[in-house]
Amino acid sequence: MKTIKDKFKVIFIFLLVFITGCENTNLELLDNPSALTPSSVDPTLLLNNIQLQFQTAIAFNEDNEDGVNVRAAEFVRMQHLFGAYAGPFSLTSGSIDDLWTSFFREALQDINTLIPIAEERDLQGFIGVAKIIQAFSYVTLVDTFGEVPFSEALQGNDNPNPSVEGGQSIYNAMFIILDEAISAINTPNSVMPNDLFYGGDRAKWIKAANTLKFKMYVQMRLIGDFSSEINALISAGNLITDASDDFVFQYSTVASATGESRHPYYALIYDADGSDDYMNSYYVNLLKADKGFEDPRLRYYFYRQVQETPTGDDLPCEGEPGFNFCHLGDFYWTRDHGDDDGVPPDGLKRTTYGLYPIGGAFDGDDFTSVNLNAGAGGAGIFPFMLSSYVKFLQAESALVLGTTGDPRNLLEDAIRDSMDKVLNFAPGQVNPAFAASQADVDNYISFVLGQYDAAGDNNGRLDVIMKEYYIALWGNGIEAWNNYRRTSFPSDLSDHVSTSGEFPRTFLYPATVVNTNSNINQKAVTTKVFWDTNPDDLD
Amino acid sequence: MEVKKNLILLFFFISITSVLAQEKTISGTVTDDTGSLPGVNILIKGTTIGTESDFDGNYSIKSKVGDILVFSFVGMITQERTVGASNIINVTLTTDNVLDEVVVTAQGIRREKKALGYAVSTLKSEAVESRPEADIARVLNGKVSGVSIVGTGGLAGSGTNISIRGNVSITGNNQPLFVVNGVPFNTSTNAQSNVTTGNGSGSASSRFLDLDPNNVTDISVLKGLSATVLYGDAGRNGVVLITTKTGSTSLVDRGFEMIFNQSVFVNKIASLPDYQNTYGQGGDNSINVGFVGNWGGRFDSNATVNHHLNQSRFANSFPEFQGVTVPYQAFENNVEDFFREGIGTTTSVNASKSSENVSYNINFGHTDEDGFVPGNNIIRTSFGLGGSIKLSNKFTVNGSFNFSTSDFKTPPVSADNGTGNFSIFFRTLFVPRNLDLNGLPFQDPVTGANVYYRTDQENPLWLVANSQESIAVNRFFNNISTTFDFNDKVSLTYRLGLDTFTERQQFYVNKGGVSSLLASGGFLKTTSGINTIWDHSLILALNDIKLTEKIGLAGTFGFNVNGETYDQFGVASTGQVVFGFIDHNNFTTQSNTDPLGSSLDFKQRENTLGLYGQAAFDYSNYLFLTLAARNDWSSTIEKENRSLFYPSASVAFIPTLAIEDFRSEVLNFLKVRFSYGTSAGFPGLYLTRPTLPAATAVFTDGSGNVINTNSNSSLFPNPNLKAELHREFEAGIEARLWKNRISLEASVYKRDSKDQILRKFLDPSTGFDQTFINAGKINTEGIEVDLGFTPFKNATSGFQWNSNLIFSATENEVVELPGGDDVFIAGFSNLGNYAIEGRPLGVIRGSFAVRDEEGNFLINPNDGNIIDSGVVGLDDKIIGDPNPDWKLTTSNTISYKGLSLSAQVEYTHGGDFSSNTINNLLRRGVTTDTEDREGTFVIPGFLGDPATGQALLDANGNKIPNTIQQGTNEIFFLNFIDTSDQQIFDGSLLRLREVSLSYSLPKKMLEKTPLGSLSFTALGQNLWFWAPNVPDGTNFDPEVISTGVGNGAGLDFQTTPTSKKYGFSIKATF
Repeated sequence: MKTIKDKFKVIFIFLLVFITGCENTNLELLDNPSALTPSSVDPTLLLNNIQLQFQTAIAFNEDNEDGVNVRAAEFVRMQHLFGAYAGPFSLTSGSIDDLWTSFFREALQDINTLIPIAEERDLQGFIGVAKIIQAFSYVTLVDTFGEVPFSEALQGNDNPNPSVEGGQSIYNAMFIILDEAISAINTPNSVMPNDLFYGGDRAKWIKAANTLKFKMYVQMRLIGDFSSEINALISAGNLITDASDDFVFQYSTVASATGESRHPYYALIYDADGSDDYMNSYYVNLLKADKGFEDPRLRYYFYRQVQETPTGDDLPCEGEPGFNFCHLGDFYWTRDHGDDDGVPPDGLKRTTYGLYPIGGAFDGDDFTSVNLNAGAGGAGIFPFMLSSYVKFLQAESALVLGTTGDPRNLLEDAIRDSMDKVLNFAPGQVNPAFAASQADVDNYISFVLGQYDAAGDNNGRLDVIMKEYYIALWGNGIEAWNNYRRTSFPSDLSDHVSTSGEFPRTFLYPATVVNTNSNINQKAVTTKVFWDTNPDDLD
Repeated sequence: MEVKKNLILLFFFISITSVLAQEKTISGTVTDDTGSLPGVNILIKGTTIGTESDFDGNYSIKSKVGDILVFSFVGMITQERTVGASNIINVTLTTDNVLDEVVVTAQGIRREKKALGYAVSTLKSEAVESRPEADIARVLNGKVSGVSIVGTGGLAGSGTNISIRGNVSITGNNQPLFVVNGVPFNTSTNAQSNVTTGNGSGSASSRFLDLDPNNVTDISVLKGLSATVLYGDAGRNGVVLITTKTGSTSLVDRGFEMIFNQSVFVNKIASLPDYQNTYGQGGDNSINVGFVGNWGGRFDSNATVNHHLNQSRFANSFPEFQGVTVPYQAFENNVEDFFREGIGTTTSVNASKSSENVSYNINFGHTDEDGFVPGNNIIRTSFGLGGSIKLSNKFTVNGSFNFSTSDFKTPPVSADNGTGNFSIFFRTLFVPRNLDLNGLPFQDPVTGANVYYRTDQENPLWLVANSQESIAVNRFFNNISTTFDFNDKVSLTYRLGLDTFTERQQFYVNKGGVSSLLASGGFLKTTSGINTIWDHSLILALNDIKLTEKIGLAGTFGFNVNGETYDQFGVASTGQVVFGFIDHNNFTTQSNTDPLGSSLDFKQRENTLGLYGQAAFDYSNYLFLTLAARNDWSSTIEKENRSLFYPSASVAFIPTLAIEDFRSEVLNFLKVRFSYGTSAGFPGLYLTRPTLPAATAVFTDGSGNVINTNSNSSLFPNPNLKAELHREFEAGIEARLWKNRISLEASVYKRDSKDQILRKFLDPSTGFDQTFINAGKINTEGIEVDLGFTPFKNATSGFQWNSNLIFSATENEVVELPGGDDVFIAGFSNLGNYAIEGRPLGVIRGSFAVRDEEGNFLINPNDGNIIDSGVVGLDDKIIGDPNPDWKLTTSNTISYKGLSLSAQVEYTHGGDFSSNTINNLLRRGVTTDTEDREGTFVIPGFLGDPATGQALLDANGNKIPNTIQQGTNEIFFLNFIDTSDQQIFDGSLLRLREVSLSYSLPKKMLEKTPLGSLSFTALGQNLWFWAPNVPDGTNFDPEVISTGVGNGAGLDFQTTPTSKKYGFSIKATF
């Protein structure tokens, strides 16, 4: 009996040692071993994410989730709209969740994290750049949704239901933010980031900030007189008036599932199944035939994949009434605004995005279907703000508000800037036999100036300016939508061929917002932005 | 003196005789009123020496005169016989009025069922063995009341969702704990992606797949909290206790036995839609062979159309089709022929021997099953070894060691609507009627690239040949326990368990696809996860302690240390170099980030300590009180909230034993019971502290600089997070009536679950996507009834009919949610399951057709379409409740001599589901539902303003009826069925779950063979179902979940349809 007891004791002690010495009793396992903590954050890497997500929110284009630009471009006939303005294949609250996330959770929240760290480490240039992106983001959000969360935003679950705030007050706050950004960058010896837009060039960032202010003032012109502010910005001479200062996001040719670096439109279209979208007949026709001759930019903007004329199964609109352009001819496979006919398998036949601005292929009558590396390989740009845009806005402002400058001269300069930008975008890609010449450009400009001169009144003149601006905006549907809501021009936008629904004056709120935020209810697309006092008759 | 000597001699001889007598063998037959009784336990009283009666009721045991043999059998009165002169003792047992069945309860404690104050369901091996199903969970379907089991789809080897007494946690895990041979068993479904992005969620196996149903000897299902309290938070969703044959520890003299089991079965798709074969591809009654929809002209128009591959892009690969036209005709079997009849085989061998001091058991199992989807297969091989040794009178050592290796393969299946998902089911069930799917080439002969009539999706045949999801698992689960018996009342056990598996998952698609960059460039993702559970338990057991003459006590006190780690490594490669070669070296870029998800490399560690005790008192064997409690310490939350105490109490009272007059011919046995139990659910890992994930190579600029990023986590950390708390009251009765012909067991329960850990989705304008909070309360109540009935039982003819009825109904309600917020549970935000205050848990919310106050559709006056709430700008609303009202299972067995016929029929009442499959079948016009289409139709309703969603009124202020005529095409495409509420259906479902016919050869025929028994069974599963409320022609089986294993319910996004199986099995014992 004694030996058994002894044996038992030995075993028992052994077991106790095993249990207590075992790593399974440690309860301090609260830090995730696979992630970094706030103490190890890197400002450069944060700013990288801010820039990339800002770009994504605006430019992204995929089957289910799109950036602001895609929907805006569909409204104004720069991209083909399938069916109604708000419907399963266009604007729905469920298809814009990601852009809201990219703006708020990614870019703006990371800016919130970055600024105190940059202040602590005296990285003034980082602060300036971050604030300019912050202002650009909020201005875009206001222009897109009307009212969005601002002062109650970005507090996590400490304020889980941030209320929206009036667009005017957010604009006002952004003017202050932009001034702070400029003064941060102007701090002597400010440390600039090596950013993706300007590579840390202080002067260019300051021009971008001033240009954004300029754009905001012009945008608000229906609700107040901001001519003195506009004149002050023009006379200070610190706007983007030269292409070298253009505020663009530059893509590269690197295709990757985890680090996609090509223009998002290129990534979507230049692949095995070809174009996922149609070109809009009206917009293509503007460049192809509207003026009676081809716009010099035509072959830079659009790429025809096949030397075939769509017929039969490939042309469902044939014989249907109400179409503006069932077919444009010359192998341009396009669709009318709102055409929601069934889709034949013509992804490798449709006319699609060309060289400018997505870095696709120049149309040199090649008639080869798009493929993975065709054209400039996706090394395109997203044109946030170009010198040509600034000049068009100046022309509008000079014409309507009488601000500094001659609208006719500014119109010409703007078109020339646009032509320069497009025609010299990637010269190596251009087949010289089909390249536009200086004579083509001059001819074009004199035609447009003739239209301008022939216009009977300022409204007619503004229509000419806005139509040319609209053509120059290819690749940026947001500004085109802003302009249309502000000016109702171009006045001859093609009709919707089917049931259009109301023309969106703002987006619906994303599903993720209305489903989670009890202070934000869904609204109608007819809700206008604060600066939009235009009549309700846009369509 | 002489006499004295003789007497001594005589005594000597007598004593020798008696020594000889000690070794005599007693044999005999045990019978009951119907005949021989196998499996009766025969034990020499006061020892552990024993045996069991064999198939014919025969037994033999070595014993000595004066020994008392105890004959016991479940449901029978135990009898004792003293060994005398005779070597033969025949015993007839009579049915007991008392349920003295012994069942396994929490922590392996064996208790008499009559003493329990809560419900426990038990199943024996016969209920699960020899089935054409590798997944033990699916075998259990319908067999236990209160347990709901839904497969994620009909793939062989795909995951299975189980819940006991309904879901009680909004966002936490609601799957029950599996305990195998006393040690927690990981049953996770480690899907590598969720429903919204990437492949895996719809197919990933649940890891109870590693258990061979043929190695199971018994299963106890503990449902309520008072039953599971000793498992602490891990047991809150119920516990499935499984004892494998290798883990069985009984030490009785049973000799050597071998069981051999072989089955072969056929696996088919359970149902296909009724296709119409009158109209083909096109729109508005005109033919277009490029379209997806089937709204084209009639086949009998004798039209000629372009060959589907008569397209310029195939000019080089398929010149033979260029310029070719073909008759416009239906290929009636184009969908059916895509699927196959899979063959499955299962082999199982079990050898065991047991004696009074040593027992061992060796098990081998092999399953090889082909699914009905081409390319779907599961192979599993398992080995088991277990045994028990009594070292001395004081020490007993048990151990069981099980190894299982499995390999699951399937072509890609995943939810439609998800980003970057691949699935052979996206359009297969509604391919154009005139598409010769199986007769056309699907692959470019030179490049291997996808070939299909359209360019926006891969040909399903190409996917079958060029894409695969696979899961390969090696799993080892074992335990050793040592028990020291201080005396026959007190013992101490130390049990050590190890459950570890390596799960290697792979997904690939060859280059040449069309739907995304991953498809066109090729993609390979491999992950390898190692999960390890170490479980230590020290248990002190007190048995049969008499506190007074009438009050007895049994107690168990334990300390448990449980540590679980999961460590995953993964690589995702893009850019395949050589077509068809699947190896990361054959891809241009590698990353440890999933292009569709998050990092593939991560580690997780979780430790739990538990101290528990249970004291069971009985009073005169008719009144029982059990008190139990456990304290847990978890590593998943901050120190202040780490420790939690959960008590429970239960009472059982048996009036038929307490009051003699209560018992009668009619009422043989009655027990009433009440219990109260509590439990908790600790939060998941790493939710209390902030993180800033880094990502590498997310962008490359024009100069080739690689850009890396750092960003705030989408999770807002909550340092105050604590466990959710559950408590439950349960009451029940158990009764036997009419000479035990009727047995009834019924429980009602009410559970409230508060401090719910909510994954609260945040508006991203808060800077975060989600956080975890404690808030909200859910009440659940339900009823479970098990009714057994033996309408016929005739001992002489051997004819018997047993009938079983299982009824369960559960109702739950989210009674409180903070600030009235709705909490997203599963699916998509615009069509998913939500927790909404005042509503049942998991209601489906989505867009809807705008209606007037009377519920009439409002119609857009411009085109005659219904008005979509989303377009008007109205918030989504509740459009369905996926929780069924009640479920009823009946199983009937009719046996006559060796022949036995049984059938299990289930009916589920109610429960809404949203079906993308049905929606597409209608939208694309392929089923008989949309065959009547040549006239025009008017959607009944009144005209409404499409901008405001208000009814339009005429000059007199009356509503204007809709008179706008539409073609069927216009009704079904982009109109009538597009709002989410129009694709919600009632899921009531009648199903023949199982039917079998078996025959056991009479013993006499086997006398001259080595066989102990031999039986043959023909068995079918899911042979027939009827869902009365789905559109007739779709034949849709609602018993699928696209959201995978988790808390989603009633959501179908083109899930794999269910399967039916039928086959044949042989069981032989030696």
